[in-house]
Amino acid sequence: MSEEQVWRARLARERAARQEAERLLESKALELYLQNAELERATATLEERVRRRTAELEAALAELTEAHADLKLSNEALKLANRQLNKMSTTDELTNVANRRYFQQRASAEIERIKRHGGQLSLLILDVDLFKRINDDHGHVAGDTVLVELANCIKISIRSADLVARWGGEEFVVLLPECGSNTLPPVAEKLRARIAGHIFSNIRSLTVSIGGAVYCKPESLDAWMTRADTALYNAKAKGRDTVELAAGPQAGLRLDGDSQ
Amino acid sequence: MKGIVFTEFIDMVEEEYSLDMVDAIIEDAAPPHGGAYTAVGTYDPTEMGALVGALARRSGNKAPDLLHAFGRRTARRFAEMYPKFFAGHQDVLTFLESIDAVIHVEVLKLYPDAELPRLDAERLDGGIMRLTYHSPRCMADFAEGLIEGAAAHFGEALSLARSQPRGAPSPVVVFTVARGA
Repeated sequence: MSEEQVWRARLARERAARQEAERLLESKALELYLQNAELERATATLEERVRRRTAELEAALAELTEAHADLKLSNEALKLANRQLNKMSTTDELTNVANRRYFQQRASAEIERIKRHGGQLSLLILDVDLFKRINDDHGHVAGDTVLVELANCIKISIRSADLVARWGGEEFVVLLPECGSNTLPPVAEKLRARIAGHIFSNIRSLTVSIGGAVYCKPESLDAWMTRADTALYNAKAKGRDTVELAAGPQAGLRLDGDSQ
Repeated sequence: MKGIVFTEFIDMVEEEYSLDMVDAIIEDAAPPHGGAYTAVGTYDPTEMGALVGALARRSGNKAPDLLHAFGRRTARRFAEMYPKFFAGHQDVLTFLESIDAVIHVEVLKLYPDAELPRLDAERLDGGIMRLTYHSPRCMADFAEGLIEGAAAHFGEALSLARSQPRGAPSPVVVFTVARGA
């Protein structure tokens, strides 16, 4: 083999090596190009998914916020309705003072308190004298107005700790905590006089008869009220516009069980 | 086997012997592509055996010694070509540990189909390291040269013992490497 042939062979070998290297590099470059394209596509897909998910979450959040606001609103409406309902269930619709139910609740609670801790408690029952005549002479609307005015008159005549309630019809009750046999007679008399002196809008004046009773342990609310009611009956029998206080629950006692 | 091993081998033959020797051993080994090796290619590992065998016959050196010398040279060349893998190691033992743990991992990222030998590194007491070489190519003599070449790069003297003597081909060879000559 001539020297030229030898060099030609070497050149051919080197050229073949170069071409092989180029082929491999090209295929590696292509592979990288495809991987890059795939990567870009995957990135775009991921970004789109993130965007979509973010939008979904934002929408859900907005919905939630709105629902929360709605809920808050209806909650407040509910609270208001509840307050109104509560007032309705404890208040006399006409006179706006306490109703019979609320009076019974409060009176029972006060009795329990007295039984546990001692103290004094009194009760007055007021009945408008000759109320039927007012209705007959001036009409039912005027009668109602009289009751409203009477309720207000009682309310401003008693202490803030006392409770006035409409028992029914033209009958009112007053619960007087920390009031015993010493203070009940002047309180009752003062109330009667105040009412008798009050000027009502549709009629000139009216009077009430009052029955009172100091609570005596351990009698029930019913028993206590019955005593006051009997006293009221006696007041009526004595000619109205007068106060009668009940005797104690036990026979022989002129007044109540309170120590004097 | 990765092409770089072949191109480095051909370079060595050209440097240590001559271009004529390169022509001759390629002619002897008669690879299918005519010896047009490229560093980025992959070739049948038996071609290396044929090339080394041809060089041994023509040069009068033993094939295991040629592989050993080739290993030492390749370590030096790798340090020139891939300094990143050598930098950051204080001594040759941590470098040897990083061959399987780091270098081969990176090589496989670039060439997922590369068939690499395994070099398990295990620290024993007294600064001794046990390196277990696994390869169906049975090129432990080349590996020994690489280990020695790496030590030379770090300027360290190592004493090296091996479970099979040089020239006794085995797919598993245990090297016991100790600091100091």
